[in-house]
Amino acid sequence: MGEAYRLRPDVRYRNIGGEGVLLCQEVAEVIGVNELGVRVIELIDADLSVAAVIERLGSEFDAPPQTLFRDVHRYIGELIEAGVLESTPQQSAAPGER
Amino acid sequence: MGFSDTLGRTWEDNILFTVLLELTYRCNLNCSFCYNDTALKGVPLETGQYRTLFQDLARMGTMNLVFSGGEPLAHPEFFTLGRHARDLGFVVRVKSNGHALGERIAKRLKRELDPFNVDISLHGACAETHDQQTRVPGSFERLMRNLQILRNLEIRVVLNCTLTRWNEDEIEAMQVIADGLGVTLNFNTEVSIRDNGDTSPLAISPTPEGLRRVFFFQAARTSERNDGQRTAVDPPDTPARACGAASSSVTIDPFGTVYPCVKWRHPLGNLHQNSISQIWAGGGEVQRVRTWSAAARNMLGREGPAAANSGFCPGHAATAHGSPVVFYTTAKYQKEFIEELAASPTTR
Repeated sequence: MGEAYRLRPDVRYRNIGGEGVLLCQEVAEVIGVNELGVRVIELIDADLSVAAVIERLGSEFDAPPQTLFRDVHRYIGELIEAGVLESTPQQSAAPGER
Repeated sequence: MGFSDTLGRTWEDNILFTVLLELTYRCNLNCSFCYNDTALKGVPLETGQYRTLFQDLARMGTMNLVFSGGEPLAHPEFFTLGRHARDLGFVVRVKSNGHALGERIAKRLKRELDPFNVDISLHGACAETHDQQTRVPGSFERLMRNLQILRNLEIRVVLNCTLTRWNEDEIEAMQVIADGLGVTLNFNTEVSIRDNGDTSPLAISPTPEGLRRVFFFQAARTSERNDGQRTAVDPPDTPARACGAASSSVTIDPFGTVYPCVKWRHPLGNLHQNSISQIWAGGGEVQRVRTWSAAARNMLGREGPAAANSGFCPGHAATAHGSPVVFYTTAKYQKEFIEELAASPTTR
């Protein structure tokens, strides 16, 4: 089992031509995110663990694994702080995850 | 890129961001100036067609789904459709008269739809005025009860008042009601003609004095919020169109006809014949409206920066005055008020 998160129930998001728009309904706050950010959110919303997200991004973006690891963890921390993500109470290993 | 830039891109790149659904023209009130054509005939969209529509819209990146009417709660499948919209991740807004939103329905609305907000019509600050416009005795008292219920349930409410000559003397008193509830109050300064072309609702359009009163009332409120400073009249940083009609938003009537917006009743297509993605990509009428909107934006540019901030609506111009580039009287008043405010010494 790996570290995993999910969107908070009041959060809505859409991919607008590669740019992400997030709305936290409870606080009526809108957040714009870039292409990588919106992809992270899409993968988290597809119930992938953090490790699986990093693995998937590694196959999609030309970036060293350690850079992805650092950036994804930092970004997830920001999303938790912003009230977008919350940790899942129970996670199961995603396909391909060790 | 910030959110406003992203929104600007929806206009520029024709990304359908907001869809307003007129689910039904049935209503439990009987407003004298309602713009709906309640005699309009057609084959209503079925629940399965709405499901297909919602799935198409989610794929197209549409974020906002607005349930309107008539009274949307009068649609027999309102909650089914609302739940489906929520499940697909739309930001759901509901435009209601509030008459049916007693405790049981309001709780169900929050539980099943979790709307971002509920827009509710307020027609006056007292029963005499409000009920005169709704033509349903007791509707004001009931609305006041229901608004309190909504607030107690922490449902975000926005009050919308269409200014008329019947309620234009109650602007401040309506604001007191909104402030007491802790909700936003917006004023719409244009009474619309009916969708069937009937101009009789215009008989209760606000007077020039009423328009002036609401403009400067709102400007003073804005100034208070901005710590005494007024906002300068800079041209808005907008794309090359007057609004997002048919470039980032559409309205769909109960019978599947797609329009640029709720005020611009120029048919773009019908969902009984084509999918929303086909209509959106189809050119023809959609392109025509986008071209008109660009022409309207150019017209506003020629009228000066205050005109661009005047709230000019090409849909209203097209419907009420026959052309989307007619700089109509209400917008002219707004422009004059903006210029007057900008010329006052404390504006920065």
